[in-house]
Amino acid sequence: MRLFRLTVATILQRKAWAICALAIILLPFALPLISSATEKPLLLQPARILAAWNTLWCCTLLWGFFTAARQGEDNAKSGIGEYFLTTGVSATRQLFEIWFAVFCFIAPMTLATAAICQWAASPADPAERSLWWVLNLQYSSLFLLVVAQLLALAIALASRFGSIVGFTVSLALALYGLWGVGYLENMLKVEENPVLRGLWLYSPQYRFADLTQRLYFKSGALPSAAFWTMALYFTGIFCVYAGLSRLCFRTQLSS
Amino acid sequence: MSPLPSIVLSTGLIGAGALAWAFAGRPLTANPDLDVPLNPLGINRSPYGEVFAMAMQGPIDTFYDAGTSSAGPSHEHTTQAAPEEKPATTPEPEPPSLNARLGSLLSSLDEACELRTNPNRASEALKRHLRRQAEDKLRFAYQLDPSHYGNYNSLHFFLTEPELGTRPELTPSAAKLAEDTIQYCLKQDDDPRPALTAAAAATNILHLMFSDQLNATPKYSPAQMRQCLSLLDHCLARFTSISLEWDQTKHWDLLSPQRIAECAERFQFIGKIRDAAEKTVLRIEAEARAHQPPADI
Repeated sequence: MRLFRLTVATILQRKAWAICALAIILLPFALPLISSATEKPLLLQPARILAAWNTLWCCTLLWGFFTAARQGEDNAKSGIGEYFLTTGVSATRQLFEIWFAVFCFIAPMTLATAAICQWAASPADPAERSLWWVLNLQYSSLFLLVVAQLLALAIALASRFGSIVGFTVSLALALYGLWGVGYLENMLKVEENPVLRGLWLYSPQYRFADLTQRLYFKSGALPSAAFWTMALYFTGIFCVYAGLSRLCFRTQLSS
Repeated sequence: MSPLPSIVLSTGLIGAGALAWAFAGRPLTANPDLDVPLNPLGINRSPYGEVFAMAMQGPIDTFYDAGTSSAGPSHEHTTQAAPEEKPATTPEPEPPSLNARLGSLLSSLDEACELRTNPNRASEALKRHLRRQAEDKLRFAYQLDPSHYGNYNSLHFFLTEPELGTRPELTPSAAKLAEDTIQYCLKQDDDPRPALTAAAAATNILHLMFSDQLNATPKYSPAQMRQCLSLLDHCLARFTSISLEWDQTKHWDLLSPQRIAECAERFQFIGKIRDAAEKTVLRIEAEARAHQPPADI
């Protein structure tokens, strides 16, 4: 795991992770101060939930994907990938180690967000609080499942086409899956189109992994059948992306 | 790993993943319980949405002024208003501080950005486009916080504004907007201000019903007007009762004096409209009674 340690050390050294960590810890407490929760204290906890998860989404989509793309490009460009290949670390292994290094930064941020939601924004009712645990856990796992696949894709695309492509494609896919599919669905409701319907149906519907509104409206935990179907669905997309990433990943730019 | 098994493994992963994706995707997309209204970052109707909705009033004014102003080369509305306000706020002639100078520099740059230097007047198509943009922004502000008095009334005004086409009838969009607003506002138990917005929506429905009476065959009966009037009374009573709760819990102290005064002013204004509306309903009822006996026979 030498490439993993090298990647972790490089990201640590760049220190941008500290901005994300600070934002994730401080913004859920600072942002409600500029919301209407200052006038209506009942809204303080919903405002905190929104701030916490939205900060995490923003940090991951911007910093996380950018870091993944940059590491993927650096590995191919700087000759590190080629060096590790000569020492017997295969391309797939390199992809996994870089991916795991970036993932090790995103996972604690996700856990911190879930912890803030759990302890600083949980409902007072004991029955609702037990559901709160489950929902936070479900949200964290779906979030990590979605982010993990896009990180792998960002690294692989960046290693072949450069960090700009790796970052923008993964970001665009995430935004499309989170909200673009919703707009497409609205268009289809106005006017049915079989081609667009097919595109919508086989689009990565990341919106299912965004459970912020369930937390906000205290809708309770997802039914376990729906949760496991979602887990299977995202695992399927993960496998597709993993396969594509393996095919796409390069340890050196010229190969 | 040699290339062939590696490619086979990747292809296998893609194939298996695609199967799971397709297999699990259908029940998820078909499940109505998992359908969440489209709301990026959950901003609409959130505590942040309420603040952004207030902050959006400035940009809306800019588009509205540009869209409705008939001025040619200059932007008279804003350039004239600024110098008039200054003497009123600073009555004593003092040398302006650095902050004040920076503030005036920024506002002059703001004006310069919006200044129209084209000697030709804005075309009708452009003005219509700008008005449409103002309407879109008003709708966005309304979606951010439907219970905001200003947001709702501005959008309603725009929908029924004569410049966009005279619509004396109770138009479906304006009526639906009012009904949606009332429905949303009456669900808000923790704040008296949405009740005022609901009351304003009820007065707007009444106004559109009264305008409908000018038609040869009015669609709305006096009974429907009376029903709307009682809804208005309910909204005002709700405002009063939640206000009293806020008095007891000292919630009003969390608001600035200007916003409290704004609420009181709106309450009085709607009260006056309500009294006038009641007189109109009484008059229409009397007219209906006068016309009814011969029609029944």
